[in-house]
Amino acid sequence: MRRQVPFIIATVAGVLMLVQFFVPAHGMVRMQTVFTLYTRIIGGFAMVLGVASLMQVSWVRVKRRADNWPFALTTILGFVVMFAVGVLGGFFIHDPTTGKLTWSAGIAPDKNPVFGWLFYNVYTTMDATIFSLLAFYMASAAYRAMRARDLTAGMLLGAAMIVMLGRAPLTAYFWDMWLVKPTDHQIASLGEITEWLLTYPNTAATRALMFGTGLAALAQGVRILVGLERPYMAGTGD
Amino acid sequence: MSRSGVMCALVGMCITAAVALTCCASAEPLAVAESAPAAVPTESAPAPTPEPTPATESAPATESAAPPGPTQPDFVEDPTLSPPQSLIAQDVPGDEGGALLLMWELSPDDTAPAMPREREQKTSPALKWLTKKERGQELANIAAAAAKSKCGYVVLRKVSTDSEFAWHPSMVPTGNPDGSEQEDPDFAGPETLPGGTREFKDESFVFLVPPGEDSELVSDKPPTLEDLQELRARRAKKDPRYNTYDYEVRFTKAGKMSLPAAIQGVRPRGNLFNPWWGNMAIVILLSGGLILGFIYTARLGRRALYVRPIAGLQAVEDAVGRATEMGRPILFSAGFGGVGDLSTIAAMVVLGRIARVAAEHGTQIIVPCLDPVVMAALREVVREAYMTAGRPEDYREDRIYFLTSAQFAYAAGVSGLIVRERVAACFYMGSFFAESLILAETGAMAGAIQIVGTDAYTQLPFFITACDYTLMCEEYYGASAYLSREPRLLGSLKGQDYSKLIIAVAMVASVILATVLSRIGAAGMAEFLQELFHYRAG
Repeated sequence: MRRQVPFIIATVAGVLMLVQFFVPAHGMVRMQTVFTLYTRIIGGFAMVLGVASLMQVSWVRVKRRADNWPFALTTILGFVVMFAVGVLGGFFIHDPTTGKLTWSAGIAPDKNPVFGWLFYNVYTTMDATIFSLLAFYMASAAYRAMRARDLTAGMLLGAAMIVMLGRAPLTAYFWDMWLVKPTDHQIASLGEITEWLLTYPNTAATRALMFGTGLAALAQGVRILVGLERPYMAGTGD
Repeated sequence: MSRSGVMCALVGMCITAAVALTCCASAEPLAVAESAPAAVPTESAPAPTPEPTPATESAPATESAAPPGPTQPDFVEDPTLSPPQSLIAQDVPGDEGGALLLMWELSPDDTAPAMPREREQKTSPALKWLTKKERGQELANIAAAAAKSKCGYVVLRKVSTDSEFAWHPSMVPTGNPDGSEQEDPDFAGPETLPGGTREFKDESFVFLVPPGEDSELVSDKPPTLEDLQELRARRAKKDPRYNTYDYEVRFTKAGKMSLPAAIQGVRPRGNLFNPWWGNMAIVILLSGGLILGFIYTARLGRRALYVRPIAGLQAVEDAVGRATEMGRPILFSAGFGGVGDLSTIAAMVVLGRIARVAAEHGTQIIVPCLDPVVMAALREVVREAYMTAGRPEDYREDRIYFLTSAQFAYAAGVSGLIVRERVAACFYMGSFFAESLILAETGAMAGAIQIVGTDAYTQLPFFITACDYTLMCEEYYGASAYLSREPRLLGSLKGQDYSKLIIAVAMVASVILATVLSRIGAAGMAEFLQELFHYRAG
């Protein structure tokens, strides 16, 4: 029973969702909406579990003065500060019209300026900083990857050069000025070549990948539905 | 698949079918009625008067003041004009039950050419084999000719319990609880159609959601219970589950309109199957059948199944062994999907295999999670793997923890983890987005061996560049079968490959056929062939 009940639940739910996809009746659509709501509710409660786990791990690290414990302390302090500002800030807001502290039920920036300041000037800034690292990482990755070791690597390098130059306005301009216009548009512009590369070979390869992914996902789903793989039973289904 | 598994599957399917049929229990059958005789004026037709009456007298009693506007038809009723013939109502197939199709034959006084109905555009011999562009041009020519005729049709709708049809939106109560006016053009006022039109699809029905789920109140003041009840009562008029509807169709010409062709007590209903997705259903049944067939065949064990070597999967044990020798932990990231995403489920299965190898080698595994539900699931997976390997005492729950749900905060956290913990091997399995390169480059700089499996084809270039081994899309989904080498799982890979072969052959044949048809001047047939493979969202 311990193995059969989860399997029945998983199979029933899986087949129900599959059938629901093809049955447009309102009852089935409503069922999907309700299941989505259940998922959100469970996710909300699970967030409490996740935060408790993070705090517990960080606190143990701080208490034992483990390696890099200041980072764990920063995590705890960051959580406590944002939580306190968000919750307490909703209670104590300075009302400019009356000049007194007044009740506010929201944590929007216009109602909780401290929370808003922390969010936009601390969190969003750091988020953008990490995102901007991508530019440098991309350059270093491209430097490592763009080596013409063999034919396919050479083709990759050539296509990458064309697309990069085609996307840059300056190189596209000089290409047009020196090659396209003197030959009366007999030679295609860099933008046209770039678009052709992205529209045809690139799209064909992408669709081939998506095609294989779709069928592989279908096979994975069939394996789960018939119980060959049971991730809900801790993975192996053995 | 064991006998008990088959029984469970059958029980599950029976329960599913019962639930599905219960949910799809439709409302009362759709009434199909002929139009009312043209010679008998219907009681619901408003009496024509030369001057419009004031809006306040004809508007139903509501708290809001109706804006000024005509409260009677713009046309004068002329009994000598012939009404539309053979009016019927049909449910639109393959929908949720929110659309109804009215069809009629042209009035004998209509001089406009008949516009082909939507269904006839795909079935009539004159239009069937035209391309979309040619068909659109033909329809545009018919519409232009119809516009010159100065004929038309007017369609009116009302709930069967209402007393009269509304000729202007102001007659339909659509105000907000606080008295402000809210236009509700979807369910008010007549629909005017050009001459030659022979059908009208009414898609304005809306299903009422349970109280608390709708959030369309626009007033800043909290509404009273009575206001909410009144609003829901008005919205309930658009729900075909609670109402039937009456329709009138009148022919108009030169400022005059005929007596109505009427139909009463009709409503749309939900359907059990969407025919637009028949092609997808066929492919799923075909592919699923092949996969199940090969799973069964592999179970019989007739022949060993060959799977091509995949370097990334062969390197898993080497990576864990390397980490063991260096005395450093391994890191596993399950990506950015939720617990309902198939890629995350595949990551759980792969983690189970990797964790078992790590447990056998005595290597610590760190699993920072983006989603708390996924964290709970992964903890169980790793715990079970350690127990299966006979090392339950080595399992540390604090190594699988929730990090953050923000994308770049997670990337920063994992990057810091890789550097501080000096991980020797990184496994990225699941769905990844813009943070993929940050993770991969950090691991590369830290000198860790990196194995990636993802179905995010947009991130593949970054992973291929920065990581040692990359499992692309279907290789990733087949990783669990590859790692376990169980015949039934390998059989599913074989079934997947055969279905891919069949679909690829069908695609190539269709492309060749469509090209040939286009060349010989049958471009319409080529388009028809292409549409067989299209997925329609609605």
